[in-house]
Amino acid sequence: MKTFINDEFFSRLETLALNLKKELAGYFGGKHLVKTYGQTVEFADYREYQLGDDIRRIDWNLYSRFEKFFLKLFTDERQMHTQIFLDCSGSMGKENPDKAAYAIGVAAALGFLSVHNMDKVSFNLVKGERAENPYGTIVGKTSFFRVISDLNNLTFDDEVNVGEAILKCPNTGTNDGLTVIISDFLSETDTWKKAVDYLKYKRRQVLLLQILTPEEIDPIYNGRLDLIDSEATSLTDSKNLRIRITRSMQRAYEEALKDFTEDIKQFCRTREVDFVTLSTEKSIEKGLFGELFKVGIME
Amino acid sequence: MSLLAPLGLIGLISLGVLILIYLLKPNYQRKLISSTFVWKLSLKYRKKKLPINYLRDILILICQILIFTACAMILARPVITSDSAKLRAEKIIIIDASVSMRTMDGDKSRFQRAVDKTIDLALSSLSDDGVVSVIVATDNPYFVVQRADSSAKRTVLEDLNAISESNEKCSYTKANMEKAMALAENVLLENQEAGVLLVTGTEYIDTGIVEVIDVSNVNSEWNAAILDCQAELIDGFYNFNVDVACYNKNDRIVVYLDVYDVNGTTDTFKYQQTVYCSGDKTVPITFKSGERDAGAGVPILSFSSANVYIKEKDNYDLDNTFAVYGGRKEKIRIQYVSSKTSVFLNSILMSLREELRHKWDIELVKAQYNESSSEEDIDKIALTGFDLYVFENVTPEMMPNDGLVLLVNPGYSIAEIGYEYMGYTYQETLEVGFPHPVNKGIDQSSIEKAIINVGNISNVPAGFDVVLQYSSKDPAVMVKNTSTEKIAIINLGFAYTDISALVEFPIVIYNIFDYFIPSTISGYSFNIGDTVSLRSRGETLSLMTPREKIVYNTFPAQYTIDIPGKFTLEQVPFARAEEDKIIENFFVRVDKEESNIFRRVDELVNPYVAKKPEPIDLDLLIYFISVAVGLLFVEWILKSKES
Repeated sequence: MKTFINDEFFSRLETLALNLKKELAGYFGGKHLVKTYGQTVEFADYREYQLGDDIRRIDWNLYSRFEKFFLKLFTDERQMHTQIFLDCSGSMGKENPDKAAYAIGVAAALGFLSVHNMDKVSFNLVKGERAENPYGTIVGKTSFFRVISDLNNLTFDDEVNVGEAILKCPNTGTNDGLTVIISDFLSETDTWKKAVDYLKYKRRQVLLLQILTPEEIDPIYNGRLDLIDSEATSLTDSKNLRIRITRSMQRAYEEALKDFTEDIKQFCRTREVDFVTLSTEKSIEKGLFGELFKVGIME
Repeated sequence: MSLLAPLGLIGLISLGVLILIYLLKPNYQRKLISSTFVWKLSLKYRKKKLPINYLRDILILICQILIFTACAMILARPVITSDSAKLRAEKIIIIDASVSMRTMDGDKSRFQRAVDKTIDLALSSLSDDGVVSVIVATDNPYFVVQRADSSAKRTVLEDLNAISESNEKCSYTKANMEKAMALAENVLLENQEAGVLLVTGTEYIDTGIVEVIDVSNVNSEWNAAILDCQAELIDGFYNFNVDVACYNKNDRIVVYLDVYDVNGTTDTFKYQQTVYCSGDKTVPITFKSGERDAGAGVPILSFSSANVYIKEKDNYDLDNTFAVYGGRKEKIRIQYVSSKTSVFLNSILMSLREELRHKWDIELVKAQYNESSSEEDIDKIALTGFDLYVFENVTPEMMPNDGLVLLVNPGYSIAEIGYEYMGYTYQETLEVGFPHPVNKGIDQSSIEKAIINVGNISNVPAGFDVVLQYSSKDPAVMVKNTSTEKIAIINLGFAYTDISALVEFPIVIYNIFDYFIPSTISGYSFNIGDTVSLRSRGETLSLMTPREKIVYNTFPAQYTIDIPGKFTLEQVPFARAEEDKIIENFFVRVDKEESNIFRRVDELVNPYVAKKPEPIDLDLLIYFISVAVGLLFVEWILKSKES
């Protein structure tokens, strides 16, 4: 399987950083500025003294000027927890290992960016209706690199329910970071929408990354075909489809994909969720540099 | 349209291969993809198929089928012949009307059966909107029906029924097949596809393009025939040689011979012989009368007629009888009177008698008359009772009027006939006068060399024809032939001439004899189709045929024989009474070959069929190639669109 995980890849990512929203809470010790005022040395704002405030924070220069008591506020930097949910269904790589590698690469890139910015990252591998986190919460590059090589050994198989997996996840975090869902979202079940709603309820920043291969974006095959779904359990599985693909069918496919994607985008817009479609045809860097910059996730 | 190479259609087998490929090739191929989710979504976006769209699905297959079909047609080389005018089916039916078609089987002859068959064929053809022509092949073939179509069906039927009622339209001779085929060629010029049929009883080995329909019946028809009979005079006695044959049957045949008026009596001698005939072979037999020791009975020295016949009940009876004539010669009496018998003239008369002994029984009576003749001698000179009176150097007191009078070198004027004698001159030469039967065969270049004495006369007597003349134009030989006078005058003397060295002079004597005493007919046996020349010694000649009686007044008369059987000629000679009329007979037989009613002929003459002009075919090759290329283009487009 092709792998994007190498030193050169990560070295290119070092200049990037995930741009998380300031509303997130996070933990102390991170590098993300948050809206709350903290104990950093970076001046943020003034506030009138209220009974009970620490008098050591009174700005005496302002008092001499205004003869009122004002407090200096300083920015707060918190450590975020990036949770990456990686769809390990068959559609993500059983038939096309490159797609799997790409997905892993994206997940690894995002994980690296997190640890590079001193955030925490968790890799939740969605299998079936559960999300497995065999690596725990990863902090620091050392831990990261130790884990990352295992990601290359991931298997993509069977059917998964991303939504259910996320909903059942015991520790999705609250207001403390970014949740990335890496999938192709080519599933009849849309419980992932519920999961997104849940994550938004948990005040997490959500990023949906749809990984599609060029063949999935613009299939060039035609004729009379028995399409075997990679997640089908047998040849008679209802997931399979017997179809005669003509030019008009291909146009219909494009239209359907476009509408499907637009539907996801519309959903995401209403939830203030970022949605990015990445083609495995493009390099991960271009995808990360390009698409994620567009949506503002990357800076 | 037609195909120049029909085997090219074998290429259509490729259609079966094509269909087999479509049937056998996996209709749906498996493809493993990541997810069918979007494809299932796209099904809703698929436009509703109109019925015509289903047709589009198989459009490529249709294109391929048409391409293969076009290729097969290209291999078969299709053409359209420009000669597209389709001619109706036409039949030319020739009915053999030769005499052998008179062979009877039951109550119908072959000819009648042939006509019946022709009627069936004609009606069948006309019912199919065809065209029919019918030719009756006699010795002079003719059309009974010529290119009649169904609109003339009734007329055709009437015409054919008219000839089927009897054998009247059947000839008595061989059919002229060449001319019949020539008539058929006239029709073939109009329609080269017309079929030619010959309805006949003759078997042909090589029929060519003609279809032969045999109406003979080998199981029931046979023929016993008297093919020929000749009376042969040997040692003064007559033998009768007869050829007998039997066709399609091996059997003993009894041949009868009746000889009438034997030896100048009214007796009839009857003979018979039994002969075994087999294998269609001719068996000659002889009835001998001249060998007494052979038990042949009384030798036959003369007879008026003989009849050979058989009594077999065969199917063809026209050759069951054969008549023989000429066994008795008519007597001609010649009186030769001369002052001094001329060796030259005497030898001519003797020679004449010998020469014509097969025709005439000439009796030559000589008499001499000169100044020293006695009364008894003078009394012997007859002026009546002879057919020919020859007076040489003698002038009779009275011209005989019951026969031909030949005056040779009269030497005296004869007022009775207007002849005036002027005396002799010498050293004249002869010339042939205007053409006349008497100077027939005379060579001008020979006679002009003769040195002769000339008897001068003042004029040519009235009614005389000058057949030889002198270079001075005076008559040398002249004749007069009227109903009351028959006179020939040879106006020259034989002394001091070399005329006896000329062969022309006996010819003149012969011609005079033949002119005034002609043979009525040249023979006693003829075939159908022969034209006989008839002459008479009287004013009229009656001919009784098996069918009719004809009286001739002008001679020589020509008669073309068209019916077999016995013919009788009657005439009353010049200056004779009715009771002295001469009756002569001759026999006409059918063709011997026709007696073999099952004969086989090697080759049937065929009509010439002109070669049809090569039709200029419209080659459709380029069109089919264009279609094939067009279909390939369409298929390519469809394939491109599909992909």
